[in-house]
Amino acid sequence: MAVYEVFLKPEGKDGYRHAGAIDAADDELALVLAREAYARRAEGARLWVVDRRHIVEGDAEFVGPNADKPHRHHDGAAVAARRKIQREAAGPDEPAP
Amino acid sequence: MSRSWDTMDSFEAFLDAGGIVEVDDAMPDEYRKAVFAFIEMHANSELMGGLTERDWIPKTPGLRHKMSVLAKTQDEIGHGHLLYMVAADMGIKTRTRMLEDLFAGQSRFHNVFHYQAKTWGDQVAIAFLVDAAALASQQAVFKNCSYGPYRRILKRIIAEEGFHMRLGEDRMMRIAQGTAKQRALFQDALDRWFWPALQLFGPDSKPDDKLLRWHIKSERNEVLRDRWVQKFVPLLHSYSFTVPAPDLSFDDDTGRWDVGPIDWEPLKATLAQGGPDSARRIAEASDNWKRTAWVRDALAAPA
Amino acid sequence: MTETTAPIGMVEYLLAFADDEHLMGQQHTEWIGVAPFLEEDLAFSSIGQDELGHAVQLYELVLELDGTEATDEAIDGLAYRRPAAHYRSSTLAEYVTTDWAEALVRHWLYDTVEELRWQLVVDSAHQPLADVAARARREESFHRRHADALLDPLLRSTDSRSRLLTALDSVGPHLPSLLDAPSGERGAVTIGAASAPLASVGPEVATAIETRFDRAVPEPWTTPATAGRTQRDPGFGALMARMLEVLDFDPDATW
Repeated sequence: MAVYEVFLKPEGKDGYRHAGAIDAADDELALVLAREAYARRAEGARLWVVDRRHIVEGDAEFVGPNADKPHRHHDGAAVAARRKIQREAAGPDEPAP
Repeated sequence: MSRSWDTMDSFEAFLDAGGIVEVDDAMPDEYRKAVFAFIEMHANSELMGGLTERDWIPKTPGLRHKMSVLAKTQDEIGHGHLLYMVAADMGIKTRTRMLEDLFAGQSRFHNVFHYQAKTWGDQVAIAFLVDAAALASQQAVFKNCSYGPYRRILKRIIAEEGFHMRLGEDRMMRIAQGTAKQRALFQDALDRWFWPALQLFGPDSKPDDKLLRWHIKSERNEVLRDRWVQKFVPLLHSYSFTVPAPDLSFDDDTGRWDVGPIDWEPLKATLAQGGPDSARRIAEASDNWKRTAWVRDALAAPA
Repeated sequence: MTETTAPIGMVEYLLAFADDEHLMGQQHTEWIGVAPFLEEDLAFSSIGQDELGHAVQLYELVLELDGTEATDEAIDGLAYRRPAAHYRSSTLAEYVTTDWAEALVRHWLYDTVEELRWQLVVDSAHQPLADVAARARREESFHRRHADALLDPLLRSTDSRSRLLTALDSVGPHLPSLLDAPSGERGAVTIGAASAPLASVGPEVATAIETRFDRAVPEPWTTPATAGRTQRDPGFGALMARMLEVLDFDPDATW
């Protein structure tokens, strides 16, 4: 027996999303059983089952440091500030270029 | 292990700030045990609830009706399945162990499922009253639950309970608008199920309830119970059913119903597996489990 | 009545199919919560719902031939209120079992035949039946796949294999009753509502059993009975009583 993670993909633009897990003796049973455990109301249009042992995980410690890279997120504040300076320099009557 | 906390204070500060705990976090042992016990009891209750309903499914009056009722009970068993999977990942008990503890009478499940559904009226009363109470409890957990895997699975469970609520109300209304015999059947069921359903919420929450402190529950038991009373008493009256509470009163000033003092002895009995139907129900579930052991054994054998 | 040319036998033909689907669905409902493991509870229950759904659709076709609106009450009239002798179900669908091995083998065998049975009517000259068949076939292939997915590992293991073979010996003798022709079948084939009698799938079913269970099939199993599906299993009365308990509690009620 193995634990399988179940992923569902809705019809349309969105990708696969984790739905839950099941216990199954083999891949075929996992697929057949996951269909009724997770998609019996067609919650997804497609279904993946993945033996949990085959998932290679990067945990929060691994990915975490990348949360602190502001230089990769130009948030527009600097641009707005520059535009403001530009407008003020141009004076009230002249439209900004 | 992903994240860890040096002290309970820092863990609680994390929770208070809306932090969500994941399965591989080094959560404090006390938290792990409390969350696990809560999910295990929820899982057991879904399964035992499904078994309560099961007795009546083959007798469902009507072919299309039977399909709907079967789909509903399938959901309840499915909820048990989802919850056992989430609980097993916490590393305290395996799924098999949880089921075997349940069938050995060593685990808890909600008080209402220690009773027998004696008539079709009971089946409808459960769908109408008990499911509403269970849903209210689940919503209050979902709202702010700090344990991520549980919260995510609750989203699906609650969506499905919405279908059940409407099915239950529809069936209750057919009876309410039906024959005198039907109405009497439902009133009789109501007399049996009103109090157990109300007690599903449990006694008043203790001031130091850890489940509240750790953001598993987000509402106190008495608040949820009162909300259910304020909804169901007038609803049942509107269909001309009698609420079986001799001390029921209405406060004109506050506009609120009061059901009077609650006798908690029946609830305590169920907690000790001494409910009216506990022994029979557990024995039956245990017997079913044993009779199909050969299938599980064969599937567990290496291919 | 949409199909004015449909001979009277068409009703019998459809009822035989509908009754089988109804009673198989009914049998499956008994397993919710008590199948060997929770995932299987869910799958088996879905299959039961599908079979009940097929029964509803086939009873609707019967009512349509009769010009009767397919209300819940009209469908239930056909499903529950005919005298036992008027049912056209097979004993395979009628007999009650509390043994999971038998339930699984019956599920496999019934769905093996059912898949072929829908194939006989997928190009039916009776268009409403062809439409129902097109939908049902999509579900049937899943039913078979489900049964096979379980049987594959279970037949590899010695203890479970012997249980399943014992079960096959209990289920197999009901196959002639399933292949038995209801009185309307000949007429249905004549007008092209069905491409062939159900008995014609016998050899294919025998091969399927042999391949699946690696075991010879006794000839009587695939020799169709000739009772015209008029004889009920001894357990039929008790099965009906169970289904009717609530309906009989108050025959005037709507639930």
